[in-house]
Amino acid sequence: MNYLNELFYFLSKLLITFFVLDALFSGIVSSYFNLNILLIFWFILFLLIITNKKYEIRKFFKS
Amino acid sequence: MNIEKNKKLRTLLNLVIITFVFLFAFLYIAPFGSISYYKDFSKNTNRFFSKGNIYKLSPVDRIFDKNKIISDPVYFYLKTFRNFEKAKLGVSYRVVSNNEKLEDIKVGVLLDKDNWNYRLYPIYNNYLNNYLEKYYIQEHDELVFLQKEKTHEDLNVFLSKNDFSSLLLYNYNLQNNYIIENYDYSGDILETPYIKGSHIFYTYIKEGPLKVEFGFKDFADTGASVYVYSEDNLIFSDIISDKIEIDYLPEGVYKVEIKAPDSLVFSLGVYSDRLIFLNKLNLYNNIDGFNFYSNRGNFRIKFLEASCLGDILINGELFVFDQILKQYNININESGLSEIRSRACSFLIENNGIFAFTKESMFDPFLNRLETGVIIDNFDYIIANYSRPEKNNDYYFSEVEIDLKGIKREKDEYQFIISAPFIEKGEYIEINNIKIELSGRSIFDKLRR
Repeated sequence: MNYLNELFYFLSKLLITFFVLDALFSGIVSSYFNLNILLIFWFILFLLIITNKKYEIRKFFKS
Repeated sequence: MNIEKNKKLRTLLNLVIITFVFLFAFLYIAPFGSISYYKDFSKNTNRFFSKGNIYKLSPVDRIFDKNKIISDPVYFYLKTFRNFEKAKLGVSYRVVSNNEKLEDIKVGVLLDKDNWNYRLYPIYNNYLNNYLEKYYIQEHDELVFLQKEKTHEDLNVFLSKNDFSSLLLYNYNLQNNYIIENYDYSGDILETPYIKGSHIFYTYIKEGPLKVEFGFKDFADTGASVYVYSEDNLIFSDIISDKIEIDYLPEGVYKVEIKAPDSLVFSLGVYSDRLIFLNKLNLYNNIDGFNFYSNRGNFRIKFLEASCLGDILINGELFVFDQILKQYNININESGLSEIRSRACSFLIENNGIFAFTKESMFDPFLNRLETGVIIDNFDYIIANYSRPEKNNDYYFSEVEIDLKGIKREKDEYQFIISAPFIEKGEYIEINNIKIELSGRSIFDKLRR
């Protein structure tokens, strides 16, 4: 779970860095790498973490 | 322990981000002054990764099946983040053509957008490819000298004879000191109807002043400029004004280049009996219509205003034009002068020859060039700035070195052109891949200056 969180933080930071870089210097990242792909990965991870959290909360109340 | 592990992992991942930033900064700055880009047009490689630095083979109506050029010209773009001085452009392609005719493919780079002026380099010429095998060849730096029979020791010996009647040039300018025998200036002023934008014209003067007057329609300061050349040497340049006058010049041909946006409309008054326009006329609203001549029988015609659509008579043959912004390619298979008449008020007409508004003012100061309609067997010598493409199965590979100095990038892009005017219905050029190696000043060179 911790690894998943760390990966999520990493992707979030990477996404922000890439978007800021591409906004400041047009095409610096997007010429080599499709940022939408990164965004999709980030979103999948986000959903995964949310689902996990819900599952943990339910488990906590049941116990 | 777990927290310690997490910290280590976070530091490692942060390092990955920093590495990415440095990597992209390196690719952006190209600190050593060189970088290369590659694009495989035969595959859809950009869907999941990136659009790449070489992109946009366009316009789409001239492209079929993503990489087949079915009409001329097409463009592609190269995004770079800094200026470079040189580009080595390698193109892998396949030519599918139906019949034996001159197939001439050129690539080039846009010099300035206002004038749509390109610096072109030939990559494929089927006639030359054949004659490079048939004729006796000598190479002189970037030039190839071809002789039907070896009558001259080398190119320098041939040039020293000064007889160019049996010479054909390709992608090379040879100064020939063109003189019209017994030319006597009548003293009249040659006047043209309104034309717009950039034009290049040639005039001939007998020893004396070169005088050109401009008649502007709604003159606005557009920053347009005028350049005068003698044998390709610049002898005069200035911002465009009512007239240009150069006091004394020896007898000969002078080239005048007007660089102006299409919003600048003007007529010319030239103090000479000879006046020809090179490659194009961009004609502007004239209620009496137009009547002019060209030494070629092939034309590219484009109407830019719907209200000016109309018919054009070329050597008595009627052509009807009913669409604006469409490029019409017209070929009349007749040699000699073509007469063009039209009552359409404005259109752009181009070819690879010259235009003149009267028969009397027409003159041809140029040496013979390898163009459509030329029978090479009639010539004993060819001087070409050309190298034969490599052939691998059906595909050719050509490499040219492009000079990028003085080119302004638009939105960080160099605009390239692929010109293949021979393409007809059912024919195409398939672009397999393009590789561009850029070189320029390194960051250390820039810091040193």
